[in-house]
This record gives sequence, C-alpha cells and structure tokens, in this order.
Amino acid sequence: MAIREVYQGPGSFTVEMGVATPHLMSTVARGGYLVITPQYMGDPRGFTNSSLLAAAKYTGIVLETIWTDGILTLEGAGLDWLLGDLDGIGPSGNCNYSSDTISTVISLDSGVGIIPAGAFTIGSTITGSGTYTANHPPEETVKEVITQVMASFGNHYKISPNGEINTEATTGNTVYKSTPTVVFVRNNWGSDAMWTGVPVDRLTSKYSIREWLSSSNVDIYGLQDGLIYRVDNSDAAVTRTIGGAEALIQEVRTTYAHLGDSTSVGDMVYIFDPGSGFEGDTLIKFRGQWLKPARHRIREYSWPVTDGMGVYYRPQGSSITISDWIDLTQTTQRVPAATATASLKALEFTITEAS
Amino acid sequence: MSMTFGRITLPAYTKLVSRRNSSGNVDRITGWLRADTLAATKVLRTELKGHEGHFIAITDSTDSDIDGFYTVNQVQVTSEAKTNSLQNTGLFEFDAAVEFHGRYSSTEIQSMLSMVDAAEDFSTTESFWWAPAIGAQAVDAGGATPVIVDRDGADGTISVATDMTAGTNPTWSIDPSNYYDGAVELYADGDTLRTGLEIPMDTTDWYISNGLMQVRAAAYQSTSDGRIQVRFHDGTSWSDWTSIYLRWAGTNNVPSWNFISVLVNTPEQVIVRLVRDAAESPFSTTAKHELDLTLRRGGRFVSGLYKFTGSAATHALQSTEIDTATRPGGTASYVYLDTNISGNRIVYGCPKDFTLSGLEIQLDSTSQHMPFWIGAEVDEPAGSGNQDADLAEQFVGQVAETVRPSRR
Repeated sequence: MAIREVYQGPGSFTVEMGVATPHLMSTVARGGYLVITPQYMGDPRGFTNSSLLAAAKYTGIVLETIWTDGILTLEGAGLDWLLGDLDGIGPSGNCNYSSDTISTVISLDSGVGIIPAGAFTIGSTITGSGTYTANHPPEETVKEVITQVMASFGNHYKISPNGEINTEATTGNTVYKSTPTVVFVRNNWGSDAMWTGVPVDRLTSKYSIREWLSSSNVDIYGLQDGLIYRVDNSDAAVTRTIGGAEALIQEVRTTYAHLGDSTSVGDMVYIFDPGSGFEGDTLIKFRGQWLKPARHRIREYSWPVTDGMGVYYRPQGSSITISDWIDLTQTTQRVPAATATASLKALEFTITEAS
Repeated sequence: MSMTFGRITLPAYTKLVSRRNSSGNVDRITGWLRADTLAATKVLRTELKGHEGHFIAITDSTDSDIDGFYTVNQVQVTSEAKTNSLQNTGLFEFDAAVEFHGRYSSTEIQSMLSMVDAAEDFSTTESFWWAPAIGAQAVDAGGATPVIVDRDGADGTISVATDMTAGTNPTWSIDPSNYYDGAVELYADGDTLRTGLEIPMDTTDWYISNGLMQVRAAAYQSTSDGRIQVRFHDGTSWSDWTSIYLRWAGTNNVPSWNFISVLVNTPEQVIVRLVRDAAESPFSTTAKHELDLTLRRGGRFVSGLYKFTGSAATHALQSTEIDTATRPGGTASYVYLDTNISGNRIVYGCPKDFTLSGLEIQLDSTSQHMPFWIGAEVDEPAGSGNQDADLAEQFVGQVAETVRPSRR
C-alpha cells in the first residue's frame, strides 16, 4: 500500500480500495491514470483537467487491477513507464543527432526530438551545456536513448504529474533540489528557520553485487581480478549517469507526517547520524548545532496514501473532460499520516557533483 | 476534573499512563465515559472513536502538565451491559492511546495547502486564501506576502491571509486551549458538535459553522425541503437565515434530501454530501441529485457543487427572498440581493456562464453539474478583502488543507 517513486524511473504503486466498491469494475480499468493530490480537493468537477494535474503530487498508469475477495487493488507505474520499461520494451528511440543541443534532442518526436508527443509536454527548463552526437537504431527505446542523452550532457530529467518534462545539469537547483532543505537526524529534530528536521526511525546501509564490483572492492584473498562485472547496455548507461561512484544503498525510514511534502524523489537531502556513518564535509547550522551531515540524492521515495490526500482516477481517452474523472478518495484505504511509514533510498554520492 | 480531548470533554478518566520510548511519548488514557444521559454517553462513544488518527489538542483542568498536541493512535470503547451500574444500563469503558507531539511553546503547526483554480468561464483573478486558528502567532508564510483581512465572527476576530502565493505551506503556533477557535464545526443530532465521518445524521438536523457563517438544510414542517440556508455573524450577532433553492433544469426546485454523509470533518474544513433520488415526478427515475457543500475556516462563503446524474440540463440557483438582484457590470460571475439582510449583502455566484432573470441564475449551456457559492459582504459596505468582488476571487482560489505538527 504505497507509492514508490524512483528518480528517473517508472517506480510502482499499489493502492487498495475498501470494500463496497463494485461499480469500479466497469469504470476503473488498466491503462487509465491514478492521480493523487496532496490534499483532498473535493469533487473533481469543480476544476479543470490541467489545474488538477498541475496540483497533483503523483500520476501513475494503472497496469493491473486485482480483485481479491471483492476488494480492488490498483497496481501500476509512474509516467516514466511511457518512455519504455526496464526490460527494453517501449516506443522506439530511432534517431540520429549530430552536434545537436539539448533543446533539440529533448523536444517532441512530432518534430525533431525523442519525447513522445501526446504523452508528454516540454517544460520551461531545458538546459544543458555541450552538444549531442549519436545514432540510435530502432530497437532502442526512448528510455534507453534518454538515459544516454542525460549521461552525455551530465543532466537529469524529471517528469511532473501533469506529464511535463524538464531537464538540467545534475548540479542545477531548478528541476530537482540540489541544495538540501531537509535534514534527517536521530535527535534534535524539528523545524528550523532554514531547515526541515526530520527524525529517523531506521537507517539501513546495504551492499549489492553491482555496487561491490563498481567500487573496486576486493575478495577475501585481497584480489580484485577474480570478479568480473557483466555490464549490459542499460547498466552501462546507469553507471555513467551516477558517475560510477556508488558504494552503498542507504535507506532512511521515517514517519510520513514528519516529512510532509518537504522533499520529493530526486532531491538532495542531508542525513546526519555519525554513529551510523552518516557524516559529510559540509558544515551547516541546524537548531543551534553545527553539523556535518552526509549529502544524498533521494533515488527512491516510498510513501503511503494518507488521510487528507485526494485520490482520483482519470480514464484514458483522447477527449477526457473533468467530468470523466472518478473520485476514489472515499473508497481508497488511507492511513493516518501520523503513524504511516515513509522510506527513502539514496546512494552514497562522493563524486564532484556536489555544488 | 475534566479533560478536553480534541473536540469533546471527557468527564473523568481514571488512569493516565505516560510512557516515553525512543520514538517519542506514547500516553494511554483510560476511564469511564459518562455524560448526563445515556444518549449523550453514546454520542461520546462515537465522538471518541471519531478522533482516531486525528491531530488534536488536549487540555486538562487539573493537570496542565499534559496540555499539548497529540495524535490519536487508537481508541477503544467497551460497552458492557450491567444493571444498576452507571446510568443503570451499562458501563462504557474507554481506552485511548495518544502520541505526544509537544506543548504550546514547543509545537509548530504547518498547514499543507493545495491551491487549485476553480474551473470558470469568467476571467476572475484567483485569490488563494487561508486562515489559521484565532489567536495564531508566529505565522510564517515563507517568502510570500499575503494580504491579511480581518473578519469578526462568533468566536472573535479571525485573520485571513488572502492573495497567497501558490505552493506556500505556512507554519504557525497556537495555545492548545485555543486550537479550535474559529474551527469549522459540524453540528448534528440536536446541536451536538460531531467529530469524524461516521456520524448518525438526519438530513434535517445538521448545520456547519465556522463562526463567521453557518449553513444548513432548510426544513419545512420538519422535513428537508431542499433549500440551503445560510446566515452570517458580524462579531455581534447572527443575521437572519436566508434561503437558496437549487433548480433542476431551471424549472423545478430540488426537493428534500434523502441522505447526508460527511466527506471531510476537520477544524480546517468540512465537506458534506447530500443525495436524493430523482424518482419524484417530473424527474426521471434512474438518476440522482447530489450536492457537495464545503465550508473552510475563515471563509465568508460556502462552496457548492450540484450534480445531476441524468441528462445534462441548464440548472439554476434561486434566492427565495422577495427581492430583486443585481449582477455587477451585467457580466460578473455573481449576483447580489438588492436589499441587505441584517445589514449584509447576500451574494451568490456560479463560475459557469449564466443568465440572471429575477432572482434566478441559470446556466447558459446544459451540464450535469453546477458549481456555485453563497456568501455575504457582511456589514455592507465592507472593507477591502471582504467585498462581494473579493469573495468571487476567493471562490476561484480553491484551497484544501491538512495540518502536521513539528517541533519548534
């Protein structure tokens, strides 16, 4: 029962309805959209398609409807899924570029770009230094192409809940927050004129085989040579994007109410817990203390659907009006924000991306 | 000894277990529910359960050490049949687990606001607005500089921030004993303040109040007759009630409501949904009427959304006063009654194109739904921010709110 948002990825969601929602069987179907607003706006018909989507916290595509003992569960993925899934299936990214700028490449495919028109719109922030030159064959998906484009420019991209795509250098502060505003601490949490201090229930550091191999680790004989890292196309691209410097997956678990909407996936945050190894180099003044927290980008953010949020279903179609939206808020199983758990995953970032 | 537990007063508790663990303070309050009558005790039971999951203020008349802000994690009420016991019929034992956030001085409240323009056929500039509880201090709207408008009402003067910048999530502080001052309140079942969503309600016996205005279903000979009634407070007294009819297709008044349910019931806003079938002649039999009413803290208008599930029609809104109405400039998104009621200019509007004839505003094109609002320019002529045109801008600036506590 959570929304799992992934930085430049499709992520996933699972939202369960309550009992007594039989009329949804014919109306809520695969291929429609689940739209979640941070607060419940009431019946959607008082608003417009675009104003509600612009205010949304999350939009996902319903990929599965599961009925278990009469209870409907909706499962799906974020809008990134429309660029191509992680198995390399999706719209073709067939294109040739020669010394083209970012605004040429990241534009709609109805013109010269690679972004599928109809599914997305181009936002106001499309910046990047340098040019792009590459030929992409038809069998590459848009997702695979855009990943390589981002790596080439040193950029990252964001798809907003209204389908708007923006991109800038990973050091920028417009598309994602590069300068943290949230500090995760174990003690002395709370508000601060400069920061939002969030208490942490649990911190997890985890190694995976990919991180092990890409970080020049050695085996128990002190040797590196016996371990061969298989890199396929998409892996290589991913490694390039994050600079090959990943070492640890860090997971932070907290209570959703403490976090509110103060941060979102892709933003940089500070984590300070020296006893657990979360300590960095930047000195910040936080609630009367001088801290040197570790700086991490949120790669994954899982949050629950809580009381007070609005849950809407927007059917798929070429001429959807606001009257076609279905208000699922009252039938969605929601949890109190005060007790619901949220978790964030980050990767250790030690490369020169720090501003 | 009495404890104010959110919006209810617990007559007595017998045991308070205060516990602190690594994740905070978890307190447990147990005791017996007992009010003046058995019926009132049953209300307390529903009310207590209605607080589950809510962020509340607790104050105690004899133990002010526990005054502060809490979240209700769990509530249990055991009703046990027992003759010759309390109230001669049974025992109501309660057990509430609450999580302590902080006291007056250590708690900061953040209002998380979603700001969305209402759909409209006019080009009204929206004014997003928001009001914390009366007496809020250290209100911080970030870098935004909203225009503060004061409004006098039954609970005192509430300050409303208007022209807010979208994306602002202001923080503020309040004494726990004042947390509900200016709050939106839902009264049902004989003038009883009700909490939560699962409330035994009668379509004729309810009203919503925010201290500035009240809205209720009008009853004729104890039966809801479909009209919506509003009245306003100017800081001294309540005005007379005035009624508005919803007119299906502009020809038939929507009659009495069959059902009422509560969608949202928090100090920040209350939304109720009224439903009736369309079985009565001349309505078709396979459709229903539905009306959502939203009242927010600090608001001088109620937002409504009338829906008819049958074929689209040109629905209308009509005052039942014997009066005439004026549409400012001939094209405004609202009209007002020419004769003030208790000194207040009654205003009603609709964001869709409409035509005014007499006291009726009727949609120009057919639709299955009609959004509208009913408000008043209190003590007309009012100051800036409280005038009829300001209310129209504040209707377009729709805001939804949740609150979260934070340590200072």
